[in-house]
Parts: sequence; structure tokens; C-alpha cells
Amino acid sequence: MRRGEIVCGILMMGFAVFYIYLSWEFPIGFVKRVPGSGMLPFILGITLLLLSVLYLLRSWKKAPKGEEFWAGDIKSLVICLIFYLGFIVSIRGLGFILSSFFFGLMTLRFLFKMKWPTSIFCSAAFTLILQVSFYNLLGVPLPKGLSWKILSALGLGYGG
Amino acid sequence: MLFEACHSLLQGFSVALSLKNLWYCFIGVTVGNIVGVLPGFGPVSAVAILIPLMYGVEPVSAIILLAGIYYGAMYGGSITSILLKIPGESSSVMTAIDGYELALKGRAGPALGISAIASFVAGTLSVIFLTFFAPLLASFALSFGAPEYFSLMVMGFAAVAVLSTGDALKGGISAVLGIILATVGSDVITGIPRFHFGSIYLLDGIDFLVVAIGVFAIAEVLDNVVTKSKFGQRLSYGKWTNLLPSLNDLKVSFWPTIRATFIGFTTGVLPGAGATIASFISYATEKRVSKYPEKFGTGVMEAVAGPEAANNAATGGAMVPLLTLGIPGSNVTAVMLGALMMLGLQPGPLLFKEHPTFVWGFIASMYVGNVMLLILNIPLIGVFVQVLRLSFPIIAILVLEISLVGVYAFNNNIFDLYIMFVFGIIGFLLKKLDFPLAPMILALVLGRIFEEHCRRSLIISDGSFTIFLTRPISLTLLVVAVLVMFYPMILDFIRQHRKGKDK
Repeated sequence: MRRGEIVCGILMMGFAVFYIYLSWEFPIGFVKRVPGSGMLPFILGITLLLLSVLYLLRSWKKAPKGEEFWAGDIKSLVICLIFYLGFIVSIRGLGFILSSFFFGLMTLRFLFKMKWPTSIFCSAAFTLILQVSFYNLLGVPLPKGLSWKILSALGLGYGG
Repeated sequence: MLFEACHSLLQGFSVALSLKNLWYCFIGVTVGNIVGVLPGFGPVSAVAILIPLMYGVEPVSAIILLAGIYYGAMYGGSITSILLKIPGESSSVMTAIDGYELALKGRAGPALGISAIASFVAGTLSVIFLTFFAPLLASFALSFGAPEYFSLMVMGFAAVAVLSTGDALKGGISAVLGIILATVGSDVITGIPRFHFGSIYLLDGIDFLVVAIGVFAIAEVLDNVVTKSKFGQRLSYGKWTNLLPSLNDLKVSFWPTIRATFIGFTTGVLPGAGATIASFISYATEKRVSKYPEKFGTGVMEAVAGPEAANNAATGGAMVPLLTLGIPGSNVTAVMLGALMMLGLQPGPLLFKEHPTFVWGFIASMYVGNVMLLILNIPLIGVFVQVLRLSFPIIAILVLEISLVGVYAFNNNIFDLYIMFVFGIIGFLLKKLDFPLAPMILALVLGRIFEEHCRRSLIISDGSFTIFLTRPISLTLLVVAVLVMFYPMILDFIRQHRKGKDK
């Protein structure tokens, strides 16, 4: 896993430098002896930088040259992330009911290769259970979007 | 004093065991249990939502119901932690680590059983402590100032960073990243907005639950997708008795439960510390005293019993400053303080004298509530475990959808969903690189209070860091922190020394 650890160490060092740079915008307060809003971020940035350097050095010297962490079914991972991101992006426009149903359907059918009827049944059941539990019982205002307009047009809209 | 307390408690039971109050207690613990299971819908929200409904209800009945939600949520939080690695509450984060591993080994039933029993024992013991030691502990908590709290948190971070995986460097990086995340949003002292990149959503900071669900639940699903899940292998439990904890499980969990009760209760008494830090300290302690610390994180029963006992004991502890001083020890007790005031009661030392029926009725109801929770939870283990019989695709969709709805329910904010998504990916990468994620979550939960106490201390000392070393309690806590940090090295040294002697 050596390459992965080295990349991670370099990224963390970069992040630490960026964070230190950002923390300079705020008063640190070492001069006035009154701690400012930039004091802790500055100390944290320096600490992270030091720890990242140590991590990088240790990975360089000691990390075993085993299987890299990205070994595995990366294609499925990417598909899963795209579907989930699609769910999040579409939830406002489509509303919870439609976006949840389509997310379940797409993931079960195309990622996990389940049969169409099972995928349709499961995704509809999950959507119904979550909608009833969170919206109706707990009063969580789940996004309504297009789903609600369709339900209302069909005379099935409820609860305002 | 002992006799007086027993007499008052008996009077309290006469109040708590009335049919009406038993009903309120039952409703409270049941709602709490459900609320604990649902991520994003914590006891604070549930208590806050129910307060308006308490108008016209007798104060003692109202507080019995609200407290029931509080400790009921502590029970419920462990269920999804163990079964799905979704911590319903921040105090269940530690339970998720080994509890979920036990579930993967087909031992979800015993883990849930131990969690319920440890919660019951610790909850009951903490109420006994609350009964007898309340005034004494409250005065000790009063001696904690900003430097002491700062040092307590340093000790907590050090313990978790070092002991969660044994790799101090990775644990340290994880903890620092957590505090960095906590610096996003308005500055705790001056209110200056920091690191928000022009987004109004980041002005209030990043909620721990959003990050916790991302790095635990989402990352776990992603990991299973990549590695072609192990879910299908954990379906057979054999006889129904395999769902219950064995005698050995009970034996190994005994001392962790007792230790965690003390840790949880005393930590719960300290305002601001509460159930989360108690569960972290308990996990770290169990790992430190264990004969097989290397097995922690791979599914060890003690690592479920300890944190679960600690977070339940903390609820009893949190009632001490609330009832005796009127100082809330946690978010939930802060809301409950508001409820008490709304009901016309002023918590403080006079509450015990002026409203003894209320105080002792309430304390007695906590004993009753703990028994109710045990009776509710043990028979339901078989039902809960059925969740694991579902195939991985079903579990994956359930986890991803419940996580999304849970995070949305927290603030009704879609921006939080993007943060959860990003942290899902970050959590997956860090998990693959063997970084412990618990220190990051603890640091994020406590980061703002940590900064506040740090800066308040420095303001008191005119910028001098020696304030942390000149106060005895603070110094002691820092010394313990240093010892914990160098603990692996000290242990190695002792082992080598012993080996040398043997030769």
C-alpha cells in the first residue's frame, strides 16, 4: 500500500499548507497576548503539517509494498457514487418520492443486477416506508418537488 | 443522610409507580428507543418537539416522559450502530466499531443483548449514584474551570488517538483533522466567520452527525461495494439461544460495565462533556486494561459493553448538575432545563427542599424506565437481527437512503447531503489506509468547546500557556494525557526490559 500512503501524505501536507495560509487571514494574537480567532487554526495547521511529514517519511521507509488500496471493483464504486450523487442532486427538483424510487431502482437493477420486478418492488417499498416514517410520523419536511405535483394531480397529495 | 435518601426514594416510587406516570414513562422510553435508532433525529429534537405538548401536564409526569426519551435514545442508538454501522447518536460511535464487527461474525444478537444489559446495569447504578452522591459530585464539578476542561479534552483526544488503533501517528492526524473541521464556521469567542468560503451554510459549522454518517455508514457501503460484500456469509445463527449473550459474554462484560459506569457517571456530571466523551474514554480504558488490546476493532464484546454502559451512566450523571445546580450537563438536559422552567420549576439546590415529590418521583421513574427498556429490548433482539438476513443490495440501499433522510432531517438542508457525500468518499479512502475515524468524530464533536476553553484560559492568563500547568487538576489531566500518548512506547520498553531479564 506504499504508493497510496505516499499520495495521502502529500495530499495532507498540501492541505496543511493551504490551511495555514487561510488561517493567516485571522488575528493570531501572539503579539497582543490575547488569543485571536486565527490562533488555534494556525497551531492546528502546523501540527498537521508536522504529522503529515512524519507520516510521509514513515510510509517512504516502512510501508509494505502490498496490494494498493484502490484494488477491487472500482467500476461498481464509481457507478454507486454516480447514482448516489444523482439522488442528492435530483431530490429538490424531483422531490423525495421520485428521486428515492429512481435511485433504488437504478442501483438495484444496474449495480446489483437484480431482476426488474424485484428492483421495482423493493425501491417502491423503501420509498413508501421512509416517506411514511419520516414525513408522516416524524414531521420531517422531505422535499416535495415534482413528486408532489404528480400526486396532487392524481388526487393523492396529502398532508399539505 | 443515607436513611433520609432511602425514605425520600420510597416516596418517589409511590409517585413513579402510579398508572399515569408508568404510562408516561413507557411512552418516553419507547419514543427514545425509536429516536435513538433513527440517525439525524436525536433526543434533543424529540424533547424539543414534545415540550409544547407538555402544557397542562403535571410537571413530574412531563419530566418523566422527557427523561425517558433521553435515556431511551441511549439504548436505541446502539441498535443501528451494531447492525448497520450507522450511529444514531454521537455517543454510539464507539459501539459501532466493535459491535458491527461482531455482527459481521454472526454475533449481532449477543452484541445487542450485552448492549441492553450493560445499558440497564449502568443506567440503574448511575441512578443509585444520583440518589446518594448528587450534591457531593456537583460541588466537585464546580471546581472545573476553563483550563481543567481544556486539559480534560486533551486527555480525551490523546486517549482516543492512541488507543483506538494503537497507531498514535494516524490517530493524531485523524484527531487534528477533526478539530480543523470544527474550526469551520463562526468563531466561538468573537463570532468572526472562518473557512466558510462564502457559503452561508458553513457559517454554523459542520455538524458531527453529517460527517459521522458519511465516514461510517456511507464509507462502509462503498467498501462493501468494492470488496464484493461479506454480508451473505453472516446469515446462519443456528439455534435461537445463539441470539442471546453466552455466560462467557456476560463474564467478560462484567468489569467493563462496572468501570464504564463510574467513567460515564463522573463524565456526565461535568457540563459539556456528557455521554459521547464518556463512551470514548470507556473504550480507550477497556483497550488499555485488556489482555488482548490488538483485538479491539475486530469485534470484542468488552468494546460494546463499556461504551454502552458509559453513555447510559452519563445520563444519570447529567441529571446531577441539572437538578442540584440548574446547570445543564448536555444538550438534552439544556432543553429539559427549559422545559422545567416552562413548567414553573427552578432547578437548583432548593428544588430538593421545595419540590421533593417532583425530584424523587423523577429519580424513581429512572429506575422504572431502565427496567422497561430491558424488557422492551431483550425480546426484540431476534427481530432486530432479522435485518442482517437481508441480502447486501437491500442493506446497501437501506443504509444509503436512511443516511440521506437522516442527514436531511437534522437541519432540513440539502447542502448537508453534499457534505455527507464528500465525507463518505473521504471516510472510504481513510478506512482503506487504516486511519482510525473515531478520533476525527470525537474531535469534531468537542472541537468548538475545546477552542473555547483554550482561548478563555489564555485570556484569563494574559496569553500565558503556563495556566494549564499551574492548576493541580489541569496538570494531573495533562500528565495523564502525556502518559497515554507515550503508553505504547512505555509498554514496548517494559516488554523489552522483561525479555532482557528473562534471558
